[in-house]
Amino acid sequence: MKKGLQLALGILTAIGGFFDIGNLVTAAQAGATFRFQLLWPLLLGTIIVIFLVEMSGRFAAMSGKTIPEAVREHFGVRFWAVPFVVLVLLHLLTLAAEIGGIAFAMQLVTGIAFQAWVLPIGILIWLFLWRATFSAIEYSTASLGLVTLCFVVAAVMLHPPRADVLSGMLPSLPTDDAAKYWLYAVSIVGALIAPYLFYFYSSGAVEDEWDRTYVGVNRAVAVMGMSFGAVITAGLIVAAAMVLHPRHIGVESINQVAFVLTDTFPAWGFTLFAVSMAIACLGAALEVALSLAYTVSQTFGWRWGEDLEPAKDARFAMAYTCGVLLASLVMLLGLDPLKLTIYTMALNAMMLPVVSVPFLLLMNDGRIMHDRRNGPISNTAAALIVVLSFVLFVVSIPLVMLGS
Amino acid sequence: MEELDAAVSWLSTVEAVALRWADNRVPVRYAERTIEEARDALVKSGQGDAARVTAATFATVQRRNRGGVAAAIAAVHAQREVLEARLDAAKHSQ
Repeated sequence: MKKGLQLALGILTAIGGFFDIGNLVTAAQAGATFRFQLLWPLLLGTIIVIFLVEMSGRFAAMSGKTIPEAVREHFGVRFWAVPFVVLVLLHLLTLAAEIGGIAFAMQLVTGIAFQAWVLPIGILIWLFLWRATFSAIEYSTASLGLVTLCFVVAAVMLHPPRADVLSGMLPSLPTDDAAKYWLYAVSIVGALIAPYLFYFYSSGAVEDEWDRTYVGVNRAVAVMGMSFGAVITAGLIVAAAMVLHPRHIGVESINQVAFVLTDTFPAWGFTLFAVSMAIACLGAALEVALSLAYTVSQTFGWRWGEDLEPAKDARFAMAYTCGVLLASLVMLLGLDPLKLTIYTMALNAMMLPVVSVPFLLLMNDGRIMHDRRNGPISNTAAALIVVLSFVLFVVSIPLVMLGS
Repeated sequence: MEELDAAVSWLSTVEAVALRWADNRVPVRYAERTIEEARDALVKSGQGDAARVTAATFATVQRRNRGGVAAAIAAVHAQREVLEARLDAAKHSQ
């Protein structure tokens, strides 16, 4: 019974946690510019993220350890130093983009400039982290995150041509603007495999005291939760393809996406978009801030846990406090949230080898994983992830330069 | 060509947003901000005529003149067609 409930809540969390500013921006740009043609990177990225999330949950359940702890222990502090610095930077940029997303949603609703919302939102996120338990954060934002299902409803009600949608799921070459096409493809994959997702997931599994009996629950959560999350992202790609693409509207500003639901829901489509964006970004911001604090605390061997009183894990609390403050300051510099998001997502893709390779090596270590180490399917997937991550690493830099 | 493409996209955005504002589907502050953003982008890219019709639409929305928005949208639409024709010609000449 307890596991059944955890399965349901886990799937709910995965759906809520999957969709964030990165998915929102990259999906809208992809649909508006290339119609359904970029559904295949979503499919590919979802398969990768299912494997990575499943592995990170299985690792936590079998070892009782999180990824940073284990990498540091097995490969040494020097080896972990570079991935750690990269991860902290990625977390901070992603957190800044999520705070920017909430602030922009507030601008849409109130008309007050988003810069004015950055600090109040930073304080709200910090208060939430300071006061709430892990479960409260996990389930409240996940339940509210279900509002993003409105993109799926809109996609269905807009009656997209099925054959075109299905053909978009097969990889294809661009007919024009190749640099933009590949930048968006890389950014879609980068938005899906953001390291915070599986670092947060593995730390959450340790917080929830998963053991080997949770391996099945973990697999179901990874497959079903991530798949449902991908359906929401696909819903936005389809809605953007049906509403923005025929009007030749490319997405250079979030303002150009904000009316995407008003054809389907005339009276409240605009508000629904803003609320979906705010909730998705809030859920993600909390997860990213926690993931940052987990990574820093586990690297330095500090006491950590969102369920502990801040006085009992003061350095963990200090890590998320500094993270939220720094990310808010980044947004206060006046950066465009859309541009920050697109480059951060490309950077995520670029850095995948640095963060994934050590973890994938640990997944094959029989001393840690015992009878649950990677089998042939997981290892084939892992090999593909490594190859793909190196390809993304090589192509990302010129793409970011050409695409901009 | 990229600049023409962006100008068409912004003009199309102005049409869509102004129309939805007239239909009460989006709030006035959002419509103003988006049309203003479009005008600034068009000025920056040197699309003088496009920026002018966008500025006229902005003024119409700013005055809350729902009755006058149809004429403003028609002018934006006409300008968009001009730019689209130019864009098509540029694509064919490549």
